Amino acid sequence: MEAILDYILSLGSTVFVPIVLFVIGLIFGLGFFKSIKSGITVGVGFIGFNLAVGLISSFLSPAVNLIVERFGFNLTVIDLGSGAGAGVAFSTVVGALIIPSVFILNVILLAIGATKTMNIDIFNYSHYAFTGAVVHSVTGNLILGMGAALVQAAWSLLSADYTAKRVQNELGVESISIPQGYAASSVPLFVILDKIYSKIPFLQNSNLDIKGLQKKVGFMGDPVIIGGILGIILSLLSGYGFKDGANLVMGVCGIMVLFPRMIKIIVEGLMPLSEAAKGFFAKHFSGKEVYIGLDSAVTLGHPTTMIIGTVLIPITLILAAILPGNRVLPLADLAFAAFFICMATIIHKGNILKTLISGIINMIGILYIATWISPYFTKLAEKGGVSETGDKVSALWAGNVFDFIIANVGFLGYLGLAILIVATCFIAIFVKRNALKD
Amino acid sequence: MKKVIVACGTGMATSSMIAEKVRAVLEDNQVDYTLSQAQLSELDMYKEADLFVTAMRVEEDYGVPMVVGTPFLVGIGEAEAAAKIIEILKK
Repeated sequence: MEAILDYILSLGSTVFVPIVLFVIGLIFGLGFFKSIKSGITVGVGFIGFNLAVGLISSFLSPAVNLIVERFGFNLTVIDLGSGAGAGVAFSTVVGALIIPSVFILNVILLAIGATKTMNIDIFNYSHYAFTGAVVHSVTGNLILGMGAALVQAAWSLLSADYTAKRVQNELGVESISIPQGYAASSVPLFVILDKIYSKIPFLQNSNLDIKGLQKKVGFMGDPVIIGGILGIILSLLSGYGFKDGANLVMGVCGIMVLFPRMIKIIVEGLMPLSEAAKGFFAKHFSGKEVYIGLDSAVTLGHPTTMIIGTVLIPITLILAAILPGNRVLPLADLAFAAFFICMATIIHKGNILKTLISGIINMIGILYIATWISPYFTKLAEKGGVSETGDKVSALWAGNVFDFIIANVGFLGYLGLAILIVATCFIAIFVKRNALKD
Repeated sequence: MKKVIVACGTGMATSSMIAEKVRAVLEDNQVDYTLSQAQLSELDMYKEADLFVTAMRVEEDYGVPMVVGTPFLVGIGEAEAAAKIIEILKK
């Protein structure tokens, strides 16, 4: 059994994931051709990804190594970003089992009334799979790995229930909620901070209006501009001449522009599965009050999120440079900075100053967790063929509090899993009683 | 030829899902169209468009008719949203 599994995994994520998705497509009743198309499209996304990751080894790693030598620079872990993170997560055993498992868990939780959210955001199941894969790799026990992944899936559903009404009110869209793996994990911190802000007179009613700023800073959120500026800084630090420097700038811009394009292909491939899941839920749970769990991307258009998401990019770079103990060089996920604070906007009801402070505090946590998780990330990425041997990699995407807590408790073995399940029950009761009102 | 812009936060995942449904609606109703995806933050670059379909409620007025496309994600109120799109484009 173990040997068969190892052989299948050794096929690499570009072959292994499409096969798994093809089978899941058939189970979901997509039919032969749609299932094949779905699987292969996702595989193509991974191929694109691996090509783009090559840019990091050929352009970025030499420059980073030079900077390390010249300045004793300690940001040696490269941020591969959310797409690579998802690729790594789906290329593991836990990743192969995650879609049907989360689906079944979600159906059970809906049926017993423990949640109101049906999570159709399949791409972001990768967050749960990643935590599970880390636990599986450390403990060597698949049941513990799957358990950890499902605990995180449940926490995300509960977080989505908790914020649902506020999300619907802020976005002006009925019957949705946000169980997205990252966004859901950021809710507890932002809720606690919101309670603290309400005690500080200066922040209580702060009304900083910088809508006009959006047009002025908007261009800074553009991947090409981020890549250009970052490329120039790195070229200067590594002491490159014009030729090498210009090449590095183009390489970094390439990373910033190409990585998100590859994610788009992966998401496109997963879309039919998401539609099928939606159809299933709609058929079997109509008449109940049910929220459709969507990607947090639907919230990114909020003006506060757009502005703070952009302002956070230079702040993140500064934090990375000055925080003692941080090893992560923020890169591919910089363009997605808005994803990290989108729930702060919702919880602080669009208040700009509160969202900015929360965003900075949250980013400090992200950098430390991404540093902590980098050895596991690197190991899984090499195994899944996503990164080249020798590079140290991580992703801000993995700087997720739920990852950190569940993985650490999960390492304790069955006792840890039991603690997590009991904790989940308490969280469920808390959410039922205290969900946010509009 | 009607020019339709589908916009979400990143111009990628969510707008792809909405765009697919909008295309189906337009084709079913024999509308002659071109469709592009964009980020919500860059909508003011597309003021010559005939319709914006957005992933969330947008307060700003660009002088272009707007329909919130979330029903196509959620599966509730799809028919109403589709009717609104056709009404705007057939004027």
